[in-house]
Amino acid sequence: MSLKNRIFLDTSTIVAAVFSETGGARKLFQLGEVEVLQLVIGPNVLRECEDVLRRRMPGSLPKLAHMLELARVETASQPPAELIEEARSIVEYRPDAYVLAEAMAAEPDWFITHDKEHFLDVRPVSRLSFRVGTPGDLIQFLEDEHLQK
Amino acid sequence: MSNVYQVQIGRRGVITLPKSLRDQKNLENGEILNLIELSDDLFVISRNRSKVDKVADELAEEWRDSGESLESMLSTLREVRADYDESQK
Repeated sequence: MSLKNRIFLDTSTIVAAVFSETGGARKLFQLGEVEVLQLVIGPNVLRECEDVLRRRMPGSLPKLAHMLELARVETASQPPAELIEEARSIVEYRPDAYVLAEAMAAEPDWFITHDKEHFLDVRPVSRLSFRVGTPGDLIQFLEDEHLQK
Repeated sequence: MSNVYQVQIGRRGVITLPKSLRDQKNLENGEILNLIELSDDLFVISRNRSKVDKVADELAEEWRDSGESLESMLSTLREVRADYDESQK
């Protein structure tokens, strides 16, 4: 694995990074800011962030955009139709399959999510070229790798 | 060349960075670095002062002051995701 891992963030991770000051998601944003990790989201993840805020906290949109900018979050391109189909064959729940397709298109090292039901409990890693886990899983991985436990 | 350095904690917690690293990176006496604690055993030292933490804290305060919680936001996220999928059918 290269020093700068490409980390695709599910929308849930972005929300968790705000609320949990000492949690793993916030740490990933700190590592993105100092360029230890390259954080990536898909256009749909970005749209979801905007839609959630429009419904709950519309005044916070500029600040969330600033937070993503500070953490140097890259927005990947739309997934092609073939990838969406492939993602639907991996994740049964259609709404989540689109996000998985975005992750597949972004070609990350990790897909980070808090969605237990559709991603973490299934962990369809055998059919994906990247790992699926929580922020804590990734930090544990970095620790194991760098400290050679 | 390895990018891993061993440093020793001295009296009162003082850590001395290796001279070769200080020279190579032009690290000056008195320069303030940021230590990010990732876990019990893993830390990252960064030259850049973190701004993302401050912005995230401000957002969290705004959201909490408005009565939002992680669960309420994630619940809305699930609605948003399902609505979008429905609109694509």
